[in-house]
Amino acid sequence: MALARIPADDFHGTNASGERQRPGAFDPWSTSGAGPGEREGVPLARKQPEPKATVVGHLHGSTHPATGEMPAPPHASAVGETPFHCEGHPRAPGAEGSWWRPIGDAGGAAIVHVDLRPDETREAEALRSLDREELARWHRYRHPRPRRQFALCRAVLRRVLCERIGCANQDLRFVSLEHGKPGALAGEEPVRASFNVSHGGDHGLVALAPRGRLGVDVEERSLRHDPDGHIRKVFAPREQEALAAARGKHKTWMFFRLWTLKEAVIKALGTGFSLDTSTFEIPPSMYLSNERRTIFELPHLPGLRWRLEDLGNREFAAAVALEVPRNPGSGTGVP
Amino acid sequence: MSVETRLFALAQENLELGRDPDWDLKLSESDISSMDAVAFIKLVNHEFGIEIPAEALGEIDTMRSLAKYIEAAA
Repeated sequence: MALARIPADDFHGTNASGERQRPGAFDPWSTSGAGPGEREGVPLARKQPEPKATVVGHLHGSTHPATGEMPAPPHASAVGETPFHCEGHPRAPGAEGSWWRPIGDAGGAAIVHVDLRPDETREAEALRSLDREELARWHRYRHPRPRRQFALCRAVLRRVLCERIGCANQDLRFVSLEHGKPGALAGEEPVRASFNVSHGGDHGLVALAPRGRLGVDVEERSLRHDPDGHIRKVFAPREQEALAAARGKHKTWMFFRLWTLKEAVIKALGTGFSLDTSTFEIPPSMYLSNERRTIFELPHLPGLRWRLEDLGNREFAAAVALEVPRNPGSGTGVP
Repeated sequence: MSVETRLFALAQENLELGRDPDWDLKLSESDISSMDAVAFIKLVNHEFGIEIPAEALGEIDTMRSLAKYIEAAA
């Protein structure tokens, strides 16, 4: 287990065609290695001249007109308040949906919020749906927070995945694919869905899509690092300039918006931080104008389009990136 | 001061590792967030005057192994 895998609960699944999502050498939620055509061995802080992403199209969503926020989880418009009925899952009284809730549909990716506040009852319930290997992993965590994050997010992922693909919980298992990347099997069949998990502080997000590479990231806006300090090197030059010019709460929000958008992209790519995040630029409209959604291309991967959406609200910063299927006859292909 | 001593001091100053950190603990099983990890690597690069390549980080699984990497790279 390497530095590349720090908060080990976050991971990518296989995509709709069963293709493995490529792991990165330094993705705290991922594993080592990089796929063909991707940047291997790129130093974390190397800057590239004028890195940009091509904005293919813009989407405008129903967010708060002043803040550009998505609704907070308890009041959010739901993907569908479908209870997750899944054979084999424990059904503690009153627990159904009490700590996870669909909060949106990002271009076909269902987004489920997981409440990660300490709660022994919830954690005990979550543990009852995990298999032997997952329980062993849970025991290996020394600290209560990552242990809780893993248990609660994994249990919700199981519920959502089982519900979506129609399998029993006991038939679902997570396996290690190439380079140690986790994938899912329903019985002996690879799960034909994309999924990704993130947690930050008391918030977890589970993202699930029928196809396309998918990445999600969530962070509490607890500013532990100077946005203009060493960590700024993860951003492209123009992003650094915008951050340097921003002040107060606006600066904090911009930092986390950029961070989560970048992290969602590299998680979707499966590269982790083996892709130098300063070499591509988030469309400025997303951090200067509070635009919530866009379609863009990475400069080093022309022809591949990504739907990028800011999922942040008052409680947390979050973003999701979803690969847009190639479809030459569909104009911009905006889902 | 040895690289290991410097690194561990830097980690204690900048990461929430508790009073008695286990330097051989798998980082994946620690309580270090991705943001803290990235920020710490940037700091290590700066403090030790090195540039740890991404593929090397894939092989670094504990603070002690990070210290060994820095020693070898210095």
